[in-house]
Amino acid sequence: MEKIKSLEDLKNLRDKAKETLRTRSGDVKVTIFASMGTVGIAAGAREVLKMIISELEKRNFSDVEIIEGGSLGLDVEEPVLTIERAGTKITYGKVTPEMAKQIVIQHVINGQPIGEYVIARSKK
Amino acid sequence: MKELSLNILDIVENSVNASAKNIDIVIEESAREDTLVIKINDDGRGMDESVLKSVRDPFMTTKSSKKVGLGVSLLNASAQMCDGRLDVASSPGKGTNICAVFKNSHLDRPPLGDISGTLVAVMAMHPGINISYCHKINDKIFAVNTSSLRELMSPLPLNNPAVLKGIEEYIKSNLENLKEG
Repeated sequence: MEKIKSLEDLKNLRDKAKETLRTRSGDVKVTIFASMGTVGIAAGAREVLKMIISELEKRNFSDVEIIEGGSLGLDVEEPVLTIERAGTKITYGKVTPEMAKQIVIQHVINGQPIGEYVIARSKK
Repeated sequence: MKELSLNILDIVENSVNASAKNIDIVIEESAREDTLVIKINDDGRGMDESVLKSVRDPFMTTKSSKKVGLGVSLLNASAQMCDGRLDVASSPGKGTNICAVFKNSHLDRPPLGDISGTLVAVMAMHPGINISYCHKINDKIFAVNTSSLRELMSPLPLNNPAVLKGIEEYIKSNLENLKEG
């Protein structure tokens, strides 16, 4: 990404992104629930979220919504990340930025959950 | 917390959970007074006196009202460790004002850390909330607010990944400038 120093640079980015933005098919395809409570933050949830944004940007994937997921009461598993895709919710625990990168590529974009990281599943 | 920017993220999440729509974050670093001041003001539902009294106490607050206290008590502990203090003013319906003061040169003062990461995390999760951020170092100042960023980036939403990444870079490079000057 080019250096962005001014509001003018941000405007240029907007104009470029507008062109390359794939037309949305309507609904948001994937919802990402990031747990951002005190324990999650202390355990690294912000760095996980930053990695998610970076990967989504790199791969030009914007059919996604990121929501503050609230604590699941699974403090020991923080940072916790839940992905909802095609009616199924899958929760990952002790997520590192590196894991988050894999989760974005394999699960969020390509629909293949990463079994070894999963701590919970539920159908809608 | 390793960084004060993580404390800020935590407090801002409290504000959001208290239904705040506008959140002002002010950071003031003064070499003359050797202080670092962090102020977070919101227009959320506020706290009544009993919650306010216990807001610094991690044991009282986590039990009585889960969402309110732990983050504040961590910031309080951090400020006190650095010859500083934490003031909280709040009343129901009037929002909450938090002001933490640190002795800037104190050895135990955590670094501010990744402010742009904190702001972008909030924008990603809560694109509709108005955040205004103002950072003063001595006489220099950098200010940004999400309502004008939202307008600038329209029709793209604030939580578009490319937009978020761009805003993160914008804030980062401006804060670097501020520190160098």
